[in-house]
Amino acid sequence: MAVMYLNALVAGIMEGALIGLVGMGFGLFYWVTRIFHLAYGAIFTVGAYVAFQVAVTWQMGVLAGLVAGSVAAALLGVVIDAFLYQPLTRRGVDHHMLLVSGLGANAVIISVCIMIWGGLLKYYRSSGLEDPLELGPILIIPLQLLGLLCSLGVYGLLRWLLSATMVGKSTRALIADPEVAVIIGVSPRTVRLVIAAVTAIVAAWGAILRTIGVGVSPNMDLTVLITAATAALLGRRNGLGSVLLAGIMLGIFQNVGSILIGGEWKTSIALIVLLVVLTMQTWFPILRRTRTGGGQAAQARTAPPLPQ
Amino acid sequence: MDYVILVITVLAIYGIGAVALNLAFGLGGIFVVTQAAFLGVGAYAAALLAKAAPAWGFWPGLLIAAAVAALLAWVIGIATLRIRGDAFIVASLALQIVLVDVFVNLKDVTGGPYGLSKLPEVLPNRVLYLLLTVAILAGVSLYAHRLTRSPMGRTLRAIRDDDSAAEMSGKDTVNTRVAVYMVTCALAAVAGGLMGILTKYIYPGSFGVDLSILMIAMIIVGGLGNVWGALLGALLLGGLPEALRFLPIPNDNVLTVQRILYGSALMLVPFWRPRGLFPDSYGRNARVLGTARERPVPSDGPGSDERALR
Repeated sequence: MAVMYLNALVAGIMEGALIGLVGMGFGLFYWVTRIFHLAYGAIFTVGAYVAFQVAVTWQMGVLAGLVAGSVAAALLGVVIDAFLYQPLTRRGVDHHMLLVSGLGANAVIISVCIMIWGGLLKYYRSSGLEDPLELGPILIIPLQLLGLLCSLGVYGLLRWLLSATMVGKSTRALIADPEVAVIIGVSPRTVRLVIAAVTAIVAAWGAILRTIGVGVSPNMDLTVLITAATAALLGRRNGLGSVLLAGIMLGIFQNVGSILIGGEWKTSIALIVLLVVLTMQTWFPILRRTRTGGGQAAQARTAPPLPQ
Repeated sequence: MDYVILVITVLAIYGIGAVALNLAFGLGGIFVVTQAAFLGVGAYAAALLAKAAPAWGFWPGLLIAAAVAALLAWVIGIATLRIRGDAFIVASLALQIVLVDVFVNLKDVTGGPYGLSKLPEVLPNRVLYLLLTVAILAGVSLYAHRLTRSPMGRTLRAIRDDDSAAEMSGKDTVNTRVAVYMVTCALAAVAGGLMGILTKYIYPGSFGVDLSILMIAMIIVGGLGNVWGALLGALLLGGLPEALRFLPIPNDNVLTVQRILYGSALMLVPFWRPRGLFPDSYGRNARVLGTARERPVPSDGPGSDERALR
């Protein structure tokens, strides 16, 4: 029994790292734009399908699939922000309308995917990475281990991007205080487009790592979106690392919970954790950590201003 | 003729769902994504009652469906409607998925993924069924119309436009939101019950998030906060699959094309008419008066996101 829980814990850490990976992309886009990107699951799906098309259907290998999926996702992410979110933000439409437009984009993109690739599950050929390795009583699936390592790598890359590059510093300035960032010469449009592309690439990487194991399906967008958003919401208070950690915790809850109440409730377990945490924070505000610092603009901030 | 009656009945059922959603979403500003799940709650409640006691007939099933949904909405509303900002949308999406998971996994009660079939004929006469459905739609629309002009309707508008200001002026924002959410869910359950009784077959796939998005599209296209707008949206988007039958589209693709069309509507309507074709008159007055209608996105507090990058 203990071995079963230990294996569930290990599998949870690895699966959760992928949730955290996609959650970091989702969270970064949200922090910059203040838009809950409801088409993010669709970007994930497109990245997965394009990678599958190149890697399996055209037999060009997983690496070529990774590049093609990343490019397709980045283009789609940029197009959605440039032609949907940014114009609507400039028009000053109601915040709910921005979210609704994201829902619409999600519906259109997923439907187009179904028309192109059909609605059935598509599997990668076995690469041997799915066969478990035995480390004493613990079973480790190399593909999941690769997912964990990639998630940690992406975390490092994003931190480097945000702390060591000009665009990263501009992003941080925009997040900290959009109005001051504009005054010191940061271009919100450009930063948003770069972040849209980067976060879409993160989604594509998560998609490819996930679908190599479980296959590509057009119905995965919502589950991915909601678990990524859950990780981003639970971890947002302390940053990218915290989102990754929240993803891992969700993975552990899902896997250990599946043993207790059944694998069919796996998705619901993560969502119930989210609902419980949000409800507890609302009913008991003491559970929400308070912070210090930040000027008035940071307190009253809405979306970063976009020039007309 | 039977087919036409069936289509009109389905459109009337969509109308009930859309008018109900417009109360919480259009009038109260609550981004509800659980509408499809509550249609499911109503459909399962009415279907289970019809199976257990077919002699009870039409009305008890609908009333019990509404009562079950209202009770569930009260529990959910008390727990989640205090959640502010975008977190509520995630909570709402999460609830939608969890409720559908319950339909799928409680196999002994709901029949699992295959659902409940061969439900007994509660009302054999299709024309009578249509008339009753239209009567219910008329009653729901009248109630919604009166609600929009009642003190509660004004409170809901105030909460939608600035809930902090509404709270400061002494309005009980949480309980008002819970109340309108209960009404919305109860009416959605009535629509679901009608759908279940009509089709005599229900399964969890009918109540997925796509249906919730379709309902949102109906009120966005028709007009937020206006009963007539919701009805128009239900007619336009609910009737879309029937209109598509006249185009050379393979039957397999009709639903996909429908989804592309209402998805496009959701993307384009905010550019063209940000509150739909026929929004409530309050919206029009506000624009004339130049009232700021932008809702500030709630911040998590001072400097909340600076730490996000560590």
